[in-house]
Amino acid sequence: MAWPSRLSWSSLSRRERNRALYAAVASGLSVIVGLGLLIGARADATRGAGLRAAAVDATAPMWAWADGPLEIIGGWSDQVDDYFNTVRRNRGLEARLKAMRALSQERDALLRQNRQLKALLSVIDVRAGWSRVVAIAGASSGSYVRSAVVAGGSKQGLRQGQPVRNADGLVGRVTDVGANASRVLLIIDGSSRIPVRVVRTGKPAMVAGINSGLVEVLYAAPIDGPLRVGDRLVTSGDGGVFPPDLPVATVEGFDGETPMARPAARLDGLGYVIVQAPWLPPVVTPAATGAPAQ
Amino acid sequence: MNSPWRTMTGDERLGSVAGYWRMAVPVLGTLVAIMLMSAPLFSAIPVVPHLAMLSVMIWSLWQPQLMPAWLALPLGIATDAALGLPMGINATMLPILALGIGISEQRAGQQLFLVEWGAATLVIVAYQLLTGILLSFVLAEAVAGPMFIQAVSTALAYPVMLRMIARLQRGWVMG
Repeated sequence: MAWPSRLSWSSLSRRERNRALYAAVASGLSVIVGLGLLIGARADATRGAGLRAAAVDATAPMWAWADGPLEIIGGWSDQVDDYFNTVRRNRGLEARLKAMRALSQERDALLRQNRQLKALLSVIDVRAGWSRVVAIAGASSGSYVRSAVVAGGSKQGLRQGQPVRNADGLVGRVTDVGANASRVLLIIDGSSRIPVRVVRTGKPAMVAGINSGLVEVLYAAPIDGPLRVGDRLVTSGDGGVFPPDLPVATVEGFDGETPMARPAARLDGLGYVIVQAPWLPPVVTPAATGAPAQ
Repeated sequence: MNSPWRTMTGDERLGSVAGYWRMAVPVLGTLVAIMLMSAPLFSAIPVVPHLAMLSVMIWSLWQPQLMPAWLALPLGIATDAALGLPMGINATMLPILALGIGISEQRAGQQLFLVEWGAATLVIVAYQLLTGILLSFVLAEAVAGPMFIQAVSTALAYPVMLRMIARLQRGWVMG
């Protein structure tokens, strides 16, 4: 209920009526302007990028400042977990260490052999060059967009399209770049598509976000054979943005026919992430440069 | 400005202009709500309630003069920018919300709290549905599942937000 309660139309003075009329016109106009913005966004998805970049610049410092308390609160649950599970985890780790040692020897032999074979064939490797470690300084967990804000921007050398990872695997890619902060589109976002390869079979697939904790795997099962629970998915390097062989997700189950996978990088407590240069520089097409096509 | 400007002394004029700072309280409150929505809290399901929408809804219900529809437009643009949404989603929805509340409130009048909460829940669900439709206009794929989870969390946050804005209103706007 409005306070003070509204007056009836007939009791208003002429001036007040005029004012009410202006307000109604302004309200109608504001809806029209909003729709206009929306149509602009449909025509060109990059519209408003400057404003969004300014917004990440504005919000990131405040959350960077508040990050201390948030991290402490997040740390409590980890400490309780540590207290109760250390012994069990330690035994598990020792067992794994033994197994890994054998694998590690095997890997060393394979690496040596690989180097020799590459030398024989004169293979030229593309080297992963530039990278930066940045802190997470914000997020958007609304129903439509799943993104994170990182405390690094164009001044730190970040550019749109750069892949973002942490030690466990792929996190996402840089979308909006401000001066000192940037937005990262997470791989679980509904508009994220990552070209991947199934480690077991070597066949290609696509990992698509659905705005929840799991991701969908788009996979041509009739041609390439079915996926199994536990299949690991790594980036294929197709498209040139993400470097190949970066862990993306592991198949965890099926939703009807669609395989569902859990991201390799835990996206609920990122802390710090690594921003890399795009795997391959974008190809310049003859049309884009204005040169006649061959 | 009710009292004639020319007959006022300097101090009175200053006081009269300064009285307008109350206009800023709903806007600042909504901006804080937008900030809270961009907190670096990651969760497996999108449970963060649409606080900016709640703020605009409650302010336009209680203080229609301080939250007119045209003011909801810049707040909507700020929401879209801060959450990384395509421009125009909340910028369209928040003015429509403020307009709709203004029109329906005149007819509805005072109700029991539970009735108001139920009505607010319906408004929230309708808001999410319409947002989904607008979003599917811009993006190729819009996912329906998380939309309802956010509608539920927003409906649950309504009484809390109501209390906080009531306190803000008592302390700052009514003086």
